[in-house]
Amino acid sequence: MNAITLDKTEFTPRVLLDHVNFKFEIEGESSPEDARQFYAPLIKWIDDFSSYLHFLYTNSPKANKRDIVFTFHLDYVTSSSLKNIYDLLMKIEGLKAYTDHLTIRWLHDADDEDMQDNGLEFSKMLKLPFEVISA
Amino acid sequence: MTDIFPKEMYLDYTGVIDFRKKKELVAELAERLKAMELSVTIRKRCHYILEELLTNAHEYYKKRNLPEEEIALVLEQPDASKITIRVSNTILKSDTKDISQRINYINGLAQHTLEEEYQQTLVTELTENQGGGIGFLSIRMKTGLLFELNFVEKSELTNILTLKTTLNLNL
Repeated sequence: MNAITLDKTEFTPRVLLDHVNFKFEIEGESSPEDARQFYAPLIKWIDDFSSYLHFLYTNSPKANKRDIVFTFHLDYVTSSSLKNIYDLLMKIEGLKAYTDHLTIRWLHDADDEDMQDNGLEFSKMLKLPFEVISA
Repeated sequence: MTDIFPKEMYLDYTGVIDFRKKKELVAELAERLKAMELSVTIRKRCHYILEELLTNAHEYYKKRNLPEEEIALVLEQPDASKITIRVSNTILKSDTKDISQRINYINGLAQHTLEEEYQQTLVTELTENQGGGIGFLSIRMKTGLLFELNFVEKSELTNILTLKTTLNLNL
């Protein structure tokens, strides 16, 4: 599998999904014309990452499980993006089988109540350690 | 609060709506808000509400494959404490009842049930729907105020739907 590296654009966030260095970051604005089209490859990547970890730990049972931290720092999100981010988070939740520490870090600007609320809503809905942090 | 929205805050547009035009209108609003003493939260809420209402109209046209992709938008400040956003678009008469019921249902939700409904919709709504239901629910949660809706007959088969929402600037 390959890492996903997307630069920030006017309406889409910067994305880094790197299974080699265990860096998982989404940052910026998310208001694309077609949110599903933008997020579908990211959701698929999590599926592939899950298979990769399964293969890794099945073939190397003594391999140390690494901590997984996904960092979201979004400054504006449309409702269709929110739905897709929820779907992405649901996929991420499935990675719990392959790590002892899976954490979502939801960063929001200090004076952005709505982005904080989005993080808090997700934290109530998901069975994941969820840190909502004022950045 | 002083009159933070001068007369030039008034924004109106009538014409075709598509993704580019929607972004242009949101950018125009952002430009006008720059000079205002608003919190980041309120500023972003203004963008969000405008974008969601325009998206709703645009998605409706796509879903129903209607040839007239026109909307009418009026954004104004009736007094220093609030702004109103009105978006009108053509709908099929056959959809009038469903749209009316859906908006009235969302209007009827108390704040705590709004949150439950929002979470439920986030879980169950198909991604193909592009989040329309979530958009309206989140606008209600953000504004705390009701949608106003109005239907006017346009032709034998169509009505003009006008949705109006108000944002309190003193949050």
